[in-house]
Amino acid sequence: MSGDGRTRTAWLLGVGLFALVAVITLVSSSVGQFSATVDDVLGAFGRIIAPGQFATTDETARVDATLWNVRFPRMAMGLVVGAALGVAGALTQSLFGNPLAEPSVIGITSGASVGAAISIAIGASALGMLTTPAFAFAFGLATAILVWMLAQRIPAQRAVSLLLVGIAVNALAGAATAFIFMVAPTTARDAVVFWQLGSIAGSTWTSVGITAAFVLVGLIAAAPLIRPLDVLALGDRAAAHVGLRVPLVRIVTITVVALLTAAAVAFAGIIGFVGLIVPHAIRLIVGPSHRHVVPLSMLAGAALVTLADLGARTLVPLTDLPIGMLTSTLGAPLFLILLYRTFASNRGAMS
Amino acid sequence: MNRHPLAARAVSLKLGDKVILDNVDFEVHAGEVLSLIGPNGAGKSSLLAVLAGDRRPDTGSVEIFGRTLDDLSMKERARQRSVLEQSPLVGFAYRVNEVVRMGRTPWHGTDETLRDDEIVSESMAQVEVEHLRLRDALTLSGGESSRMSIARVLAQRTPIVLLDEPAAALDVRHQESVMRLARELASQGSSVVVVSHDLDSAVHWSDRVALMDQGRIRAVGRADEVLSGEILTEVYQTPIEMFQHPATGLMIVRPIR
Repeated sequence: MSGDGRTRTAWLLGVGLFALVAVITLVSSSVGQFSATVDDVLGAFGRIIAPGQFATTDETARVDATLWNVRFPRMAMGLVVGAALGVAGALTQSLFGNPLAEPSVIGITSGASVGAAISIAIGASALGMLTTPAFAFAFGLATAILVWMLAQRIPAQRAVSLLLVGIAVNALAGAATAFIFMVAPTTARDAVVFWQLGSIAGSTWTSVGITAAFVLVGLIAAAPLIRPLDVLALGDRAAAHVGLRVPLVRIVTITVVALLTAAAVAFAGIIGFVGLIVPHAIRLIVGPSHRHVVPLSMLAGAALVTLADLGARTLVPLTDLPIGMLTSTLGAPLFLILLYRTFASNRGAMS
Repeated sequence: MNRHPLAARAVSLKLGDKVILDNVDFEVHAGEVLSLIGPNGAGKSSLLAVLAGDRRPDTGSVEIFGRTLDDLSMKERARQRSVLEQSPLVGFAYRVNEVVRMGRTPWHGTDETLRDDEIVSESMAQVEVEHLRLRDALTLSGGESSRMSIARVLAQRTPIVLLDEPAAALDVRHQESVMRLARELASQGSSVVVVSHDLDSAVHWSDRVALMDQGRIRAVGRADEVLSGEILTEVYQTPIEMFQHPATGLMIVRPIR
């Protein structure tokens, strides 16, 4: 694939996105209800990384404490969750051979959120801080497998059957969450509602650490899928003909998607459509090869979620908007455009 | 034990109550083109799917160089046989050369990958898609897309090549060139099985033909020995004539109109 220019574009885009993530993080860290300067932010880092190089006063100590305890965990959560959602979206689309597939559209996110809601509502703590993500993973995985099996069995165009299954699964998960909400103790209700709107406010280093661990495992497991998922674009039969163990690739991919989605959902709630917007944009620029799409979706996902969080904190003064609301506002129209293009084109459901 | 590149041993397949393949037994030799012909629903594509390992027969087995398919891993199978399925599709906008390169998948991790670039270019040249190498595979015409898929199959470089209606989407020139290519592969020692609806082309380009009818092999052998207007007329249930061209002496097969 030498000389086709896509590899070069991918590298440039990668460097650009990395810089973008850094700038957004820096800017986002300095604005909000507690306002700091970019110097404060850099200083807060510098005083940790290179003690003595930066002036330290009572004032800087106070600023540093706020940044490190409140703002930075939130930034870190945004980065980790965004990376997870971007990659989960890319993998889901390849898994279903469908650019409209996305964990929140086809119900994996809401499935995972039922698990998380149950653990929050009943105050489960068998695994300590790991309880909620573990519940989310178990339910997310079960939902992902269910969606796959149902979509396979509906003899319609693949894109249509998948979306129909998504509607049903989302409705079912919505009903389950509503039920959990009704039977939960009053105090737990607020927690469930707030969490469900999707927010990375109130992130702590512990929640960031747990999420990051899940995401890291998911990303490492995604690496060996890069080549097989390219081949899967040939369709199941042809992929098998060139030696791919298709069922194995599918089950590993489904598990990784569930892991990444659950990690994102467990503490940050439902942040929809990131996995739809990000891989789609990346594919338009560098083509569908997973060795480009997966790492770039990770970076772009991180950029989008941190940017959405910046918007969540600054668009309405003194109000911390739910981040999921913003990503859905951006993502739903794009979804409609994609939907239109998918069915308007002669190429049918696969394009 | 007999070491034919590819053999079906008493293969039977049912779909519900319907018998799709009924005790099919035949071998494909090294260095030959064998055409599977027969009317719609005779079981050609099902037989090809069984030979390819897509479907397990209910009874009987498929052997590749004397080993049953069940004993071979997916990768081992892919190094022995390549398959062109009917109307192959590519999801997502991969470029033509990327799709062709996917045919190299079974050789990843071996020294063979050193020749990937060379083999991919050569395969594209063989079906005249080299000029399309950087085109988005989703924007190709039916014929171009079909040739791209054939190039992918060629890039796999296997001793057994299974082609399900390779000429279906092609114009006459490309139909001829694909069959000529099948001959060329056979002359290099490969075993090529072609499912075809073009009787005249099958008779002309194949070493042997296998005529299928209602899940059975009705006749298998050299076309001039085992086929006749009568048997084709009976199996296809429409009048068909088979005769020598007065000028070239080649066998001609055509419907009687």
